[in-house]
Amino acid sequence: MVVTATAPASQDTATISGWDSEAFVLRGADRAELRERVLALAGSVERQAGVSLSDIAARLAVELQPGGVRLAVVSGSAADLVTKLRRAADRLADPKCKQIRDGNGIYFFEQPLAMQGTLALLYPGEGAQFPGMLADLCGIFPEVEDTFSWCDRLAADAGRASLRNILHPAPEDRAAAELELRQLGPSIFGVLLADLAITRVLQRLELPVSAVAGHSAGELAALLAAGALASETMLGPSLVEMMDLMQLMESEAGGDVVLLAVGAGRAVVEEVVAQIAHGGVIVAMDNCPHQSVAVGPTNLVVAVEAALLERGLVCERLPFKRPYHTPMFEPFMGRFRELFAGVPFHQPHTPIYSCSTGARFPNDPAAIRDLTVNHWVSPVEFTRMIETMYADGVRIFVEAGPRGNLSAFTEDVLRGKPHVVIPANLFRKSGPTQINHLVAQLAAHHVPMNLVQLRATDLASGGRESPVHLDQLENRGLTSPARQDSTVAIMDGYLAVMEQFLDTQREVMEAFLSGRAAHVEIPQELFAFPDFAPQPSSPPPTTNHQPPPEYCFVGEAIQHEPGREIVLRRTLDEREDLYVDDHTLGGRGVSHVDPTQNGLPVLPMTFSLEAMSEAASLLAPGKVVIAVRNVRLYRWVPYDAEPTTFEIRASVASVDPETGVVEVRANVRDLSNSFLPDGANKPSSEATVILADRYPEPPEPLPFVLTDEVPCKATVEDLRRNMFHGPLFQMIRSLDRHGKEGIEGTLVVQPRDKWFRSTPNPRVVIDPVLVDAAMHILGAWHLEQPDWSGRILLPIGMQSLEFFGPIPEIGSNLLVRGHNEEETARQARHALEVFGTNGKPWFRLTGASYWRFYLPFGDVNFFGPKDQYFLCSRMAEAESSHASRCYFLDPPLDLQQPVLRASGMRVTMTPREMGIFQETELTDSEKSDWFFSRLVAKDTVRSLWNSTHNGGMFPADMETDIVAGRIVCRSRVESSKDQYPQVAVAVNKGKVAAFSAFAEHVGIGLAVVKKGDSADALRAQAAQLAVADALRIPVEGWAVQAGAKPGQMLVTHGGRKLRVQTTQNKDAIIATTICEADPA
Amino acid sequence: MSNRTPEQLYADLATVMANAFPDRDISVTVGPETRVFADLGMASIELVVLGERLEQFYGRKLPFGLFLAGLRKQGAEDLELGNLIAFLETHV
Repeated sequence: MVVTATAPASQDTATISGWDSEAFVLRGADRAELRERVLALAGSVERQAGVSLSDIAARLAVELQPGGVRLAVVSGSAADLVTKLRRAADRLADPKCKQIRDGNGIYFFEQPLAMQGTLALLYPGEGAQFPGMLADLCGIFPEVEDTFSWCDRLAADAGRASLRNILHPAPEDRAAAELELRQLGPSIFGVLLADLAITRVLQRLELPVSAVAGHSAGELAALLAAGALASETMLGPSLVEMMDLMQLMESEAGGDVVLLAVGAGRAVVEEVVAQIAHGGVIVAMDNCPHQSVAVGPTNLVVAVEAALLERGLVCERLPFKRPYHTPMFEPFMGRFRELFAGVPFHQPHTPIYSCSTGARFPNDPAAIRDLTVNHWVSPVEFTRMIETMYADGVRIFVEAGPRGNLSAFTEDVLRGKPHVVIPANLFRKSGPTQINHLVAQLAAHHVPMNLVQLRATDLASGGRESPVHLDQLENRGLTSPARQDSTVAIMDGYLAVMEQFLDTQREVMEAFLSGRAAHVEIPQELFAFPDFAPQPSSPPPTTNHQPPPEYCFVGEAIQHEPGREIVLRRTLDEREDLYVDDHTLGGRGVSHVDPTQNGLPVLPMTFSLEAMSEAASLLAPGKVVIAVRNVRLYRWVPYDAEPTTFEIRASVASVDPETGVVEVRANVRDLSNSFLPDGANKPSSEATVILADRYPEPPEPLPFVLTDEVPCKATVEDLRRNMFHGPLFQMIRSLDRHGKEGIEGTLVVQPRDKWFRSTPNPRVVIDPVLVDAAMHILGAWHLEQPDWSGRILLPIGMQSLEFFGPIPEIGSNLLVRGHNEEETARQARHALEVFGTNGKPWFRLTGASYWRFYLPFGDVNFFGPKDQYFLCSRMAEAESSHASRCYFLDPPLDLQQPVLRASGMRVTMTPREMGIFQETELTDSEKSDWFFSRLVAKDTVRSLWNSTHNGGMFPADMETDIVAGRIVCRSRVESSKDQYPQVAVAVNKGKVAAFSAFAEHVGIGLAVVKKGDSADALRAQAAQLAVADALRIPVEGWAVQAGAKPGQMLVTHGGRKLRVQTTQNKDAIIATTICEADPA
Repeated sequence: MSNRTPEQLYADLATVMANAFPDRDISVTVGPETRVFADLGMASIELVVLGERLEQFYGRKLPFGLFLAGLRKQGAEDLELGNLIAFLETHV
């Protein structure tokens, strides 16, 4: 067995002078032109010996224009460049090639991510350090050298040796430096220096950074980069102090603590910890699905490790004893908090995500400080944070620090989703070359940046020169005459070929537009497309106001270049689009009083696909849609009360002359929807539509072997009750069998005559209702699963929808199979097949990704009546008598999102309440408080009412009002004589608690515990608040003492000791009272 | 010992890697001395993912964790494909 143990060449600490590779970014108007350019450059370089690659790279950078199609290559020699260019050209010739991501330095993406999302910087913390990091960039970028020099100056000011001695050690000191760098202080400070140095290099590129985030101590770099923390110059002395403090903490904390890195995610480790260590071991870092770090005392960690190894998992004990990111670090936090109390924090100019909460940092400087400091006693929630960033639209992550650990974590978290993570530095690659790989990948993903500026300065002797514009090149005399001649000759040759190519293209277009035959020889197959063929006697194609298309969902063409692109607009109007009343987010049948009250009407995803397919069919008439691929869903399109304008854009991406297959890229957007700010500039969904002359032969069905197969328990009625679809979409007729791998049932194709008010016979391409309805079988599979948490599933993307024949006849009875491809905590991925009446697959869906929403249903039975669902959780320990109810809700982020909140409103509030909500001007957080306080009040009152009146009641059948500043519940039916019990509601930091009782005085207090707070003191405070609330008087510092029962407090008021019942739910302390005097 | 030849195991490995990392192109010539980190550009977590996918592919538990721990004890900084194939020969 041979095991390599040699240190990579790039780790030599002797500074490498200059660049050892170049990044070449080529652009073409389309793939064909790009390929021509690639071959032209390869030919030119091949013909010219001794060419200056740096000059070519610089000139390409200067010429680079936005848009088009791009290829980026990283190479260090002419021969290697030619090889890579030719390899790339071969790949580009293959229309099936959608991307090239060759780690050796070839990058091409047919669907660049800069068009799909935003870019964020990730900052590593301790653990990313290695001796020699960034040493090879010091000679190239003055700002890197300057950052490390700053470290020298800080050390000199403090009268100590510079950390640089171990960061960039002499080769003979390397082993000792590595050991020293493992210590907490040097590792944190060393990585911070490297993070800052990389940030300054990235600033040259002027990247469009939309957010930043850091891992553990990397949060400091993120805060600095986002302007939330004082400048590094001001911070310097504090950083030195912090390093010393960390060092001290580590030495003092070095007791019986073991850190165990595990090759599995948090859930697996916590499961084992629960079985073996009963909570005595803590998951301090949840880095990704394949790495977490557990911390605890040796005996327990050893037992956990043994159990994990037994499961075949990779485990490694880390070589240090620091219980940070756990409460065990709390004893050392006092000094740390004191240190940070003197550090100025500011409102950030760029959003920052927190690795403690997994969510955005607040904007308030004091809150930022609290969260930053407390990160050291909070677990690292890297997985959650990356998922949040992705959900917020980040698709491009750049790791702005050394080594590349976070890139691996992030890739693992987002595996299978469209994204890219690019490290600016890698342990095993030379620094300059990795910067070139970073630049190349960003360029290939069309990230706008200042490539020229990256090359503007070069400290290295013999390194590259400042790039200049082409017309300056000769005047500046930057290169030796021979070198200059060869470079100019190559570029001239290259440009000449390109000019020729462009001329050819121009001639073709001119011929096409003027109605004459092209002079140049173009394969006739290219014109197999009727609308694309030159028509000698026909007038030029019009560009505006084509006759209305016959299809049902695309409206009017406002721009149409036949065979190339089309833009269409239609109105989204609930009065015309009758089908949307059967597609209401939040559910249906939510009121006994008004059975027609439903959730929020939302455009079904399949109607977006239908619109894109119709637009594609208009571009390729006579062909059939055989597939829709790479479906990405970015935003909901709820129907507004007033009609809005829906726009469909489609353009031909490629035509295969041999097969006649046409690829059309399309997207849809709502131009004026009140829920979608900037909707005109952001597609709500996009896809690639594939058309051909005929449908492909049906393939063999997907393997369908069910483990532990059993008949379905859920009935079709159960399924209908739990989907938010109305009768038009209810095509499933039987649920037959299911197992771990999937589920089987049948459906019947229903008529289309009630989709639109204006036509009983809409012309469709894919039958969006049938496709949507078929997917319901997947909902049935989830209904069969024992774990209902995260069972609210909404689609976010599909890899492929394939059609193997025309739409089945109305009335056809079809077999449907749902497949379970993959499940994670946040997503479920499915496949689906619908079989035609011939028993062969008619439709196949693969890679259907669904986002799992975690609504906090406190009490729900998906098989039971819906009027007994409770979104909030009952807090029975806070109920002071049997004839009372206490409910609590900490609204999850999912439910605070405006569209989901609006759908929640539609199913729990009355029309009058919704009208008041619409008319009241509120901030976003006030809107949440308004809604959730009423929702919790209703849940509380109806729970108590149901218990005493033996019935079920919907929230939407109860109406709230404000009387004397308090929420009062009454029946929605004015003539009703029902007298609902009183309710008291408390809201604190977004959390809501309510208490209801048939009593005169009903009060509630809600306190939120922060780290460092005394829970006992807050419990007493909450008890006083409850009494004050019940008696409608201010708190007056009454005496509070513990009562005889668990959780009971006695508040002395007016000579009586009033009983208050309290409980704690996570960080919320709830106190309730009906002001009964304690008999004792 | 496995009844699969080294050639078959290399082919298996190529299939598993292509499925596990579908968006990655590997243009280097692969052989027993190819290093997974330095030559293939994989990260250590991806090695864990690869181990998991190999288990799924062969439908059995593999002592991948012990294998990697053994390499680490030897001070290895990289893993050559030849070692991985030898491991598979022993366990599948």
